[in-house]
Amino acid sequence: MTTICKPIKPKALRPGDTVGIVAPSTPPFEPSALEFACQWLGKLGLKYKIGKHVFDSWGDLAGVDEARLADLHEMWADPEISAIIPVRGGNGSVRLLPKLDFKLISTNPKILVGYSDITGLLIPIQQATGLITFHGPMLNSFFESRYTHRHFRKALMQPKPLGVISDPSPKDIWSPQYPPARLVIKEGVAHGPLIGGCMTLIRQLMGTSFEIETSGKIVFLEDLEEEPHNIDRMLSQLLLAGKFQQAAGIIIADCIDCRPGSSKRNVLTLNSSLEHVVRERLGNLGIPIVYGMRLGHGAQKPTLPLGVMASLIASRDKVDLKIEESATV
Amino acid sequence: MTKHLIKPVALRPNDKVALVCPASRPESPAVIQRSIKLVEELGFRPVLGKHVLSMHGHMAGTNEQRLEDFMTFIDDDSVAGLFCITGGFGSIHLLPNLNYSLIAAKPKVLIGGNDNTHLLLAIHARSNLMVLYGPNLDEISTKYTFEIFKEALTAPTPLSPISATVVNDLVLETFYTPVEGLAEGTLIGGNLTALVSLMGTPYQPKMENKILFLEDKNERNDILDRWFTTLYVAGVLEQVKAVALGQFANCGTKGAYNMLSLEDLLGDRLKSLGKPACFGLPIGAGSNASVVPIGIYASFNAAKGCLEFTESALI
Repeated sequence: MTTICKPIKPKALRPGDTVGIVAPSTPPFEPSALEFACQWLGKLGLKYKIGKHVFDSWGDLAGVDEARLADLHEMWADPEISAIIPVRGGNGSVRLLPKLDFKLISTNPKILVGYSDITGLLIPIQQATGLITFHGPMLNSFFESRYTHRHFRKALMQPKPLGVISDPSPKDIWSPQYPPARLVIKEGVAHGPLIGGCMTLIRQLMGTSFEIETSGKIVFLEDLEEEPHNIDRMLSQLLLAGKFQQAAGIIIADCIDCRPGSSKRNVLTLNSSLEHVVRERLGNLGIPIVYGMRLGHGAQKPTLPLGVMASLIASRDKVDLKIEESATV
Repeated sequence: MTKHLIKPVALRPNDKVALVCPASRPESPAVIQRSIKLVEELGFRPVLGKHVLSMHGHMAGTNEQRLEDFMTFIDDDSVAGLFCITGGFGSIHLLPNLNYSLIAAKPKVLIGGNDNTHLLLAIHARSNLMVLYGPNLDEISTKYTFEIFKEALTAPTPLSPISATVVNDLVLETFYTPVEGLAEGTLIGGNLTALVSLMGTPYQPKMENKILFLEDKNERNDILDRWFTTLYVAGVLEQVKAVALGQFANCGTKGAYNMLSLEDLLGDRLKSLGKPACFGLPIGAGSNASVVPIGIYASFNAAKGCLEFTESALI
């Protein structure tokens, strides 16, 4: 799909607005987790409606595809709902795409925020409808740290450009961090719309009509518990598809537990380091490349609007990611 | 318009065969020694790639070294076939720099499995060569597989059927048919993770009207479901005639008891699309690994879990 859609900006959330809670992937861990999260919505002055199938279960999915999709469509059609926030990620969002009603979404613009598996909705919806979607915490994590909570409020409740996204303060961190924060692999300046999300999901969309469009964009990728050779495979696939060569700049964000051997999924004896992989695959592209920015599965994450103009300055002494345009109206 | 498939010449006793590592380095030199003995036992003369024990990160040497080994043997007229010693990771890096027209001009018997899926599928697509999807040398662990392997490399006649119902006089434990039906078409497929790595790239295999076969190993079910979902969303499942699922060795829920089985996760869409499919064919890792000729016409019976060939893979 190479249709260029005019950006559609959702309305900023205001106290008194209602949030629709859905589970397009995996259900809440337990009922009290959802209750606790809803109290935090209350503190922001927000009301909420819980989808009918949020507590359904089909194995690790929150019900069969039809049930999860029905909730999403119902919330999107409901004029009282201003924002849709999934309870969590997991697995299952991409399974919904062939039957997702994009027309319903574009005619009823609302805030959609999430990350991880929800990347499988954020990118397809942004690209197919032009709606600005938000890569940020979900219902189970928007209050996980002061930093995350502050950025969430700022991005969704103030119709102003976010400006420079600064890292969480490193004041209490004495031990070396993995990966190091904001390592400049290649210096440079980039300017373009922001797109990105969880690498596994971006790979999952390749070859479909929803695959990521990167031309002229600032692209960020993050992941969780992937061995470096798996990330090598994903980066290589995106390179073979020409996705990085066309980009304006690349941010490989924090990849939590992607150190060799730290994946709980499978531990193989294929242990190159992630920094080596990133340097080797992307180092020669001639566009700014930054590695290690904190915007993924870590407990401190900003809320980033996908589809709005941004800039990236990567120089020896500083890295600036700046959101230049307001994401909401 | 489809170009005519190039079939390599069947191997004969005493043929020279090259052993290569396009992906990872073998675990130890012992693997190399064993592979040499195995190939001698098959009746061929093995020659070893220069870089099979080189190391670069998680691969057997740099991309240039692995490419050099592979293309040197392709170019060498005294070499009749190339066998992969091991899988692991890394064959995808060779794709942009392989000389596909030389591979087509000097057709050789190519065999490999798991990560080498990248290499085989790219060569099949670009050089239009019949390639053999079978165990890497380090995965041949039984006399049964050894005999199947030998037949696949030497038979200028149609290969024996691949059947889930009778292997070593036993019905395979994993044999399960979600959708019964018959289908005919040419074979395409390999390792699921590797095949999906080619999606959206210029090496994405053509899958229309084909019989798709898939296997994998060491992966958790939800991850395999992701890659299968890619094929679903991309319309591949709709395009293919049938899906033949092989062994998913050491895959599973990895201790998450509320996670669905592959039969649940993949079966729901196979059922809704009404696609003839069966799980548990002896393809992929395991003691009953078969060899699948990619590009060869086959008939598939999902209820019986059987792939039959009417056409030879080699000449």
